[in-house]
Amino acid sequence: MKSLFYFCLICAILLIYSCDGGKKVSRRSTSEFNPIKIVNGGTLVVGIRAEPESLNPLLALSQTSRNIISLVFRRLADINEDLRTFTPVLAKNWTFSPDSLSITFNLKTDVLWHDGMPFSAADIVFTYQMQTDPAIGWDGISFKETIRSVDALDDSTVVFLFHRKSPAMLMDAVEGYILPEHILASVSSEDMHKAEFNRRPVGTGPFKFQGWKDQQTITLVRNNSYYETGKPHLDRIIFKVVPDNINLLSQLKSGEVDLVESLYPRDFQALSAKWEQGQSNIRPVSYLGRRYDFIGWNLIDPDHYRQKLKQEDNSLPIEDYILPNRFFGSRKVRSALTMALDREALTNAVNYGMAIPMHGPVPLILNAYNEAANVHWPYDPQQALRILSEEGWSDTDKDGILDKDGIPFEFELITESGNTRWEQAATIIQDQLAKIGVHVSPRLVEPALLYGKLLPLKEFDAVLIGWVVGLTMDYAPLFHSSSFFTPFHFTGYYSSKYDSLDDASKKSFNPAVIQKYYDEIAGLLSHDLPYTWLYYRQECSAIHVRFKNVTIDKRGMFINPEDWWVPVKERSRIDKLFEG
Amino acid sequence: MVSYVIKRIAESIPTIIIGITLTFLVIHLSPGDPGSRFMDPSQPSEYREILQNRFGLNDALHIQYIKWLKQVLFHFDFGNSFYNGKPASGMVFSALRPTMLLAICSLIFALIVGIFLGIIAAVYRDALPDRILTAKMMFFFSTPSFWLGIMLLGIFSIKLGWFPASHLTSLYHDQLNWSGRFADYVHHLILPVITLGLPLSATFYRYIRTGMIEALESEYILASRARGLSVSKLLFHYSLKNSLIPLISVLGITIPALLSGALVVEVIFSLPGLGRTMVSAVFSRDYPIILAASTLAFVTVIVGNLLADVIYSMVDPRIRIKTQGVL
Repeated sequence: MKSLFYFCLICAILLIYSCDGGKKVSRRSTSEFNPIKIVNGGTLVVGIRAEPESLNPLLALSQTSRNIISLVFRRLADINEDLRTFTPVLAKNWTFSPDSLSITFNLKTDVLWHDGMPFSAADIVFTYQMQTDPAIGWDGISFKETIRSVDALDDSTVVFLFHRKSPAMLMDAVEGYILPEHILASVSSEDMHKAEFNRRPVGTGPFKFQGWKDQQTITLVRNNSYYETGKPHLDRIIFKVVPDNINLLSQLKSGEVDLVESLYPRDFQALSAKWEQGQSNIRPVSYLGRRYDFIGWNLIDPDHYRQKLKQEDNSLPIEDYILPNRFFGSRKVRSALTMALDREALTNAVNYGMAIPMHGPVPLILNAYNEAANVHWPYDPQQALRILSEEGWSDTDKDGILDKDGIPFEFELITESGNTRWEQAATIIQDQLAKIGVHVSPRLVEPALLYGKLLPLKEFDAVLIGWVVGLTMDYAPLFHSSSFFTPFHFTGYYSSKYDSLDDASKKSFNPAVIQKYYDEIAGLLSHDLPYTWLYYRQECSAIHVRFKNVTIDKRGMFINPEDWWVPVKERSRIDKLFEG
Repeated sequence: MVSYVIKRIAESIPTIIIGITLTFLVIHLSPGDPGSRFMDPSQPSEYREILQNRFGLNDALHIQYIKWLKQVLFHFDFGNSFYNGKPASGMVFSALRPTMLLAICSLIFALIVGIFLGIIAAVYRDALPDRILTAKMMFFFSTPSFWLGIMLLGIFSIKLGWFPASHLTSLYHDQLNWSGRFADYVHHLILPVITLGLPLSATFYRYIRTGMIEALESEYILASRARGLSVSKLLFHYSLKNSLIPLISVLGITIPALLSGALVVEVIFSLPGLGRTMVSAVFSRDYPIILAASTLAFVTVIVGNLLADVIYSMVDPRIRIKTQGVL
């Protein structure tokens, strides 16, 4: 009786699950931009896994926060897809001074803040002051290091003065969203992280903030006073918090959510397959993202380093802190370990094909990227073994693990707990290195411990993590000797050649010369291997096909949200409910 | 009774203080740095110190503790979240509301289902209905909430589309009239309440079934039956009343299970609540939130147990007499 009941229950569940498989959906084409057809209205529901921490551009860190902020606030100018040129946004235009040490911006005069107050040059000056205030700790502060001052000549003209010429002057000037002086001037720097503004932002962007329901939704509505007449077209954008991935994916498929920015590669591949078979209205979009993963080797002896730190003698030269690590102090050993890794297989296994193997430090998204500049270490375990043997590592006690002076080649590879991609990669690396007799013990570590203690104090053997990159190339915080004691320079890499190349690249104004320095830096770092770069990730996103005129590229998902629109015939149930 | 309650409350205060002190020490002594999540390679190294100052972590641990305890005891101020700068007490109380709504609805659902089915099983003891019900309730008793939640979500929400897959309200909730809003809440709560309440109802079912069987076999019931009392009066007035007494003590220990169960349900159904707030606080080392939420959890559990004891002694005179004797 009991078994019959369970049999029936299982059959019923299977029947329900299988009843809608394989059906084709009618899919309207993702029509090209056509101004005649465009109608206003419609709601975009964006699925997010966690709430933003703040909607204040000075304090936002997560991608979700940045996305929402990009809809509410505007910059002086936005970077174009070529990552070299800029399109004016709050600025009407700009001119460089004859000595190239200042940029004068003429501002638009028809821009209003969402509360109706006029935007002016005073807001630009105020924003610069806030961005460079150390008590606030804006994460883009390094962009403003070359700026000497920002002055308002009148309500619609502002001048940026620079310490020195550099090719990134314009980018440095326009980086960061402009803040309303009339609201934030009364908030002290110390209290900025507690300001009401952080949860009720007022900007100049195409969408204005309407409401925030804790852990549920954040709603933005159309800014009818937006300076681009007739835009935006959508009535509202709702960010819906769905922490569970299965639930988020289901809501994307069922139409409860229209857009998800960061899908797991496996889910993305499944969606792509359905899309290609014409069985889905969810358009998968992948583009080069901003993230890459790598193994960081500890090049120096951690005990010696900490011992020297305890002496608290600031006069000691950096060389005194460096005692080569017994495993990774040798460049040849690092190259052998790199050659023992099948990066192609690893990349595909953990990213389901949605990543590109990486051989050098320059992110693929940057114009400075030049694959030919990298030193390539091919997958060659036999050669790796030979190099290790030359370095004195051999299996003398026949236990399957290489040893040298009685020390077995065993080390811990730490990675962040909770990141399944890295956990999986660590296991594959363990398996691949075991084939050449190197024993790796993957260890999962809580992020606060990893970034708060183990890396800053160099208390590790090797680490598997990833970086999110900006749109400028600056490796000084990771490899320059000036940052040797800072938390992110955890490998202990020290090279006077690198220092001089890095310094020279920042002094030059000639793009060709700068590129030459970048190539040399790429060649040097991929030769010295303080990191073994693994792969560069592609972002996997998806959006419902009813949204038209959507541009998505390496700059992100929300490049032109003011241009997005939905044909009336394709409006969803949610659209209709809101329209009453 | 009043002096008993006052004494129990007085005894609870040191328990709460010891609990939150231990929590304070454990989170502050664990290695790592809450500021590390706010750092990136482009930040100047001095920023770490600024963050430590902002979070009040630069003082010695005992100074931090004394400052914190003073703020809590005299101003009920748990500080501001490291993550978003909001007052911790406000965040935790606002997160408690949906959790309480879910927990109370689930408790009511579990009581109704557990008691009703427990009575049926006791009346039909060892017969087919009892055997089927006991087997099913054992199944639900041993079913993890996350599995049950995912199954209900998959079948009734994603495949059949009968219920919403997430959140406490619809996106257009604010546009509805009051009856529409109420129906919207109910519609959103059905699956989470079943997920949290069904395993709990199995616990109540077992107590009620056992209590009812004992009561139905007791001599006073036999005597009442012999006197010709109606079945409904026998069942609900005499047997059930006595069977409910052990259930009251179970309710007290159910509160922690409800709170921890709510956490899983909140994540699966994307509901706002204390569980999600606590988990994200733990992952981001948001000390003020962890401490405020822990304090609230301690208070909730202690008050819950206290209430259960008080109700127990009110319902069962034997307990009251014993208690008074002790007092």
